[in-house]
Amino acid sequence: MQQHSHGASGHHRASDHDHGADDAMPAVDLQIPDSELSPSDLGRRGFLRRAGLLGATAAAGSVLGGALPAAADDRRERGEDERGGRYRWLAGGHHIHTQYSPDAMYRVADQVQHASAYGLDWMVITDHGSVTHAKIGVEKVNPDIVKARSIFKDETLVFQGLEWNIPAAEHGTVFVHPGSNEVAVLKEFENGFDGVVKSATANNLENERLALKGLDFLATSITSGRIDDAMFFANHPARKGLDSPHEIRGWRDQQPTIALGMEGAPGHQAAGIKKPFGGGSGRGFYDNKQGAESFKKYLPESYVTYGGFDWMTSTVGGLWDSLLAEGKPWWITANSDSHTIYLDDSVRGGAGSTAEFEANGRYLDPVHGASGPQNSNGDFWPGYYSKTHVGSRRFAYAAVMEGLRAGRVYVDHGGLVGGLDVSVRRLGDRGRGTPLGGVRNAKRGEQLELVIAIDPATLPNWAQFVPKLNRVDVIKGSIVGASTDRDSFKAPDTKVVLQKDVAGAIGQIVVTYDLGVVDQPFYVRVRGTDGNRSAAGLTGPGVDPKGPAADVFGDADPWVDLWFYTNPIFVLPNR
Amino acid sequence: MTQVSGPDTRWSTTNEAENALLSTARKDVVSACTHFATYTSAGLLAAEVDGGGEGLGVDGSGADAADVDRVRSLHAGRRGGRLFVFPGCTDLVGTMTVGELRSISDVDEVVMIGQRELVRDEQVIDTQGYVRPDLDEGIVRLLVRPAAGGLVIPFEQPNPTPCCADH
Repeated sequence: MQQHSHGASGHHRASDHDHGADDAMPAVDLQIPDSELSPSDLGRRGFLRRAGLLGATAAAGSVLGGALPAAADDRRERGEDERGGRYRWLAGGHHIHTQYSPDAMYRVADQVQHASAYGLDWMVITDHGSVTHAKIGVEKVNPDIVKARSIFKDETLVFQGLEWNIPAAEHGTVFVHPGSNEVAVLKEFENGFDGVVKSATANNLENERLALKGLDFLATSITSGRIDDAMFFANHPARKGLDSPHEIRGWRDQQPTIALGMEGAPGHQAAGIKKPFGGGSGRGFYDNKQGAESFKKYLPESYVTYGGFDWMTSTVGGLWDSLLAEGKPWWITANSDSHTIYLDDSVRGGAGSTAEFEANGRYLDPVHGASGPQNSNGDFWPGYYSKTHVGSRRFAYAAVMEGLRAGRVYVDHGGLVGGLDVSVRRLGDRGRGTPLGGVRNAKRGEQLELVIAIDPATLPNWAQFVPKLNRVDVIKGSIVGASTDRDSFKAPDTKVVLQKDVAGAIGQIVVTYDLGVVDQPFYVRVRGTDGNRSAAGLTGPGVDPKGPAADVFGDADPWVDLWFYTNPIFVLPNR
Repeated sequence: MTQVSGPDTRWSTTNEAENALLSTARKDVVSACTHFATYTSAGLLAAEVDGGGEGLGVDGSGADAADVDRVRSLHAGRRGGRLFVFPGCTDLVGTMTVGELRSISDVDEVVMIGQRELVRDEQVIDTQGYVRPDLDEGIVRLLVRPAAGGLVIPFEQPNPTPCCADH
């Protein structure tokens, strides 16, 4: 079983990159006891520990190796925050574009105002990495973001990030905790490690290494104290077949506290609405096929969405499960990827030309258009359709990042569920148990159960109907340790173990699944659906008898095919 | 005859390869395929069989000799490749039944993504004027996906959304 040693900082990886700055920070050197730290270093260490960047959590590259975060913290195991309260589930999205992207158009204020109105508690502005953005946009967007933070400070947290062209791979979100160096670090990152800026998009080993160095740079920026925190999620990972399994494993293992996961569901969820009402493309704009840079073992089926979710996530026993079966965290999210909004009638101001964009680092502010609603626009406003719900200890930037890092995350489409509380606990126990993303260490002879408590949606969603949950599925798979094949995308032991019809239920729905006495390590995760579209899974009906169906090209009404997915809970036997 | 060209060109999509090849193609070509490199980490190869004895040009993009040999062998035996020229292909425009498509072209089988089940002959297909079946050990097989109005369409779209498209 492969174990990872991350050194004292949890970030320090052996690599050909020199991170002298790590050693300059006593707060990250756990050889130095708390009692010998200066007050400021002690405060810094406390912050890093709470963020999950230091100590037991950071060491848990694998749940099978070494200290375990959940065991180290009884309160966390009971699903409580530091004051014994419940988590606040803060909805957000980490993939949103503005007029600082060459293929988008809205002000920061437009996006934040809509996100706030549609119920997002946190959001990340992620304009595309590019030469123009690195030179102008990354700095020029900051005052807009700072202003939005002050206007919406009690409603929506606004992070600055960018959409990284991952060298040799797809796009990804990189974002940082706000602070005096947020722009400087993002700009240096973009200039040093963006695939387009560095002409490093081609699929080769040298470029793959550049991606890993970019993650190292983020880690060093934290341990050196330049920024408080940073994280990375892969976006639309299967869209063009560019993210090979070994690259994903490489990012995760290089910096397990920074490379945290991927979009389980891509944005552009309106793109498949049929003509003439919509653009009639593939849902998520997933209409691609194998290209020269694609991972050649991905079949055509991987280029399609299933119930709006990316193939890596929607396939039971597929790529995501093959990562979880290694006993290592890799979390999923759902975002809008908002560029241009379905049926919005605004247009770019000024000429709206590439020359204007390159000269100003952005398009001019949008203006009311004269061509009517744009039905070929494929996106929804942030929060309108896709939400990433993060169990947070409080309403704060650091708390959202801590919750994301811990994997206390579920995602839904179209407001399918009003609330969700999933935990693993002792059979019959009334306590709160181990939450999503957590690790449950079974005691000897202890019987465990999975408890899924769902508050059905009571308010209408933004399509003006109250979604009805029809079915809840439990998915379970063995944890078998590090895969010897770094390009594996199969988890043959993972399958749907319970399909619970909950149609017509009134009030809170509680679904339990008996996990028995634990003798082997495994994980469980949960999904649910409105039940409108189902089909046997790609791995066969024995694995997933009624999974999400392949989205119909040119006729995928996203509002009548709703799903939620949770992240996993890991369960380990007493050893 | 199959030709493999030098390493000067780099094609990142099958469409680029097709356009490059068709612009230099002789009219007597009856069968042409694209292939992906497997020995080089990235890149695209294309190979073909002509009708009259002369080959099409074929990209290299740094083609490894082993890839060239592999493609030649696949092609000689009609064992593999993604066909973009094949008998009947120019007649595959507009909407027709699967049965008609099979009868007027070299396509032997039409299968649905997912469980790869055979599609019935009565099923209506919108060809989109872009039909690119695969050769598999002598069988010409077209992969399709469900589309609006109960139709099916070829899995491959003529113009996929490019990266950072202005959409």
